[in-house]
Amino acid sequence: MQQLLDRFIESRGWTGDWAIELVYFLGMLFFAVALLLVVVTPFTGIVSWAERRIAARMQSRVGPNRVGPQGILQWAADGLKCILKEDLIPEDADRILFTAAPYLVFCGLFGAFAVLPFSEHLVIADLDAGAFYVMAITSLVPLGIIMSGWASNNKWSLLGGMRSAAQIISYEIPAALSLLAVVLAAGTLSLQGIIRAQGWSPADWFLFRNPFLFTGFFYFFVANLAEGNRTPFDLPEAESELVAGYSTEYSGMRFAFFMLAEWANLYVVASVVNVAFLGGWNVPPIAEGVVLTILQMVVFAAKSLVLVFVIIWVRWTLPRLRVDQMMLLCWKYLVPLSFLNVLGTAVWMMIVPEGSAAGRVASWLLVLVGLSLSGLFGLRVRKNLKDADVGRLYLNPFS
Amino acid sequence: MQTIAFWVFSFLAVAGAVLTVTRKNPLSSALSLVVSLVAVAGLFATLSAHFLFAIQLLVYAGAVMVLVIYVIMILNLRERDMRVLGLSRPRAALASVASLAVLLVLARVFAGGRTAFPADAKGLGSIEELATALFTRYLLQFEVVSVLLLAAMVGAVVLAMRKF
Repeated sequence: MQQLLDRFIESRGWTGDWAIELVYFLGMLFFAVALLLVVVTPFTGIVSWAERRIAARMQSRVGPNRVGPQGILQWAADGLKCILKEDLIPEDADRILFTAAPYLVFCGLFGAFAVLPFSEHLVIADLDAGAFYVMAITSLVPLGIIMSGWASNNKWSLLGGMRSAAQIISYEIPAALSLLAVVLAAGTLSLQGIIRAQGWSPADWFLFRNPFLFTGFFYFFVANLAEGNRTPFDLPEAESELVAGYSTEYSGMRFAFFMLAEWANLYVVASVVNVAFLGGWNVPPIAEGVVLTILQMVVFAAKSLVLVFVIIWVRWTLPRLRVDQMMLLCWKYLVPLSFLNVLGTAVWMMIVPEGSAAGRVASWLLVLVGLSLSGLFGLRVRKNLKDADVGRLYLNPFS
Repeated sequence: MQTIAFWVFSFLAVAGAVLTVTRKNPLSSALSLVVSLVAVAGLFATLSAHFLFAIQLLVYAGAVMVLVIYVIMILNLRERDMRVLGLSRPRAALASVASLAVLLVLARVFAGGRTAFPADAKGLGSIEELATALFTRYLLQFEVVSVLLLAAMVGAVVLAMRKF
């Protein structure tokens, strides 16, 4: 027992005793999984509630507001319902693949949380190939989706699975290329390293580092939306055409796994964009120790949650693309433009050295461009609200 | 833990490979190959070669196998569509054992037999080490492979553009 405890506390390496090693191995697995489930599952649940409330507001509905204050416990009730539901497997389905597919999707997305940082020191594993690891582990998702589509033995599911695979594989190219431009600028693949290469002021973010990275942010964001099967790219589960796409035949907890993975993906996408372009946990040097860590966590979470909100907002605002438009956007626009981005970033780094006066001026000019773009957007929204032919707009989110 | 992980991943890799060649259904075969490839990625991870681990997952398990499964699904291949090779079972077994022997001999000749993995290999398998080796010692091979891949890509585009 003493030996076992030592093994856990020191975790120094092979002790030579098989029994101890086995218990240690299983124990570490248990801790890692418990951490993920305790942090990630409630988060995805609350995001699911937030998304439904926001969507309802955007469509002049109320949304779930019965379970708990403002309906915030709706996700727990839904989860309980899914556990109690009958787990149906269609008679003609391929049993093994049908049951295994949701877990593959789930593993692919939850695996990504292993390298996502929360603050300077709070990260499960800071791999030296972190940015690559995220792309690699999430590439298990299309495999799971194809498996579920094929194993369901249903044409809607099969069509949904095939669309999804084609879409994810296509959009992985612009996403990887845009991330490559960031890696070029940072000089490292580690997510923490990428954040350290940026600063707390917007002018130090990679978003405003040079004009190519500025546009690269939008390519990366769009490509990630498509990889996550979010509207306007939710062709794989287009309700009006394919019932529910690859998850048509699923029910109970297996269906819940697909939904959980979708909302976990929201956070993964938001925080990877945050790490790569928005400076991650960088805060002004005003605190130390625990306060600093808490501040970093708050800043990181705030930036990520704003992005999560934007993704939800886009979903309930834009109509769905057609399949050919989706492919056109990827192969004819995003792929060549992101190649140009990598090239442009490299040339920019040669001509304008990092930290030079010209680079600072360019960064602040780009910040101005960004601010004026959002200002224009705000004016547009205000004008539309004024012109809107409605009696009264309820803008209180908690009404 | 490293040793346990090594044995688990090795077992999975070999079991996946065996299932790949023994399954009759093409889709089960392809999925067994996925298991094998992911297990090899796990082996890379236990050697602290995180970059190779990510590449293995991204390229093989992610892209190549999705395309293979995609083709199987589009053509809707079933067991009955598989053409039976004109080889009897003992002959097939003999052929596979012979090719394994040739591979082992080649490995013995070119890699100089078994070499122990250095215990204090700090930074081995990291991106820096890999890049240094690729762009200095193996630069010529690297460039040759790049040109080959480029030629293959151009060839694929030309074939795809041909009007049938």
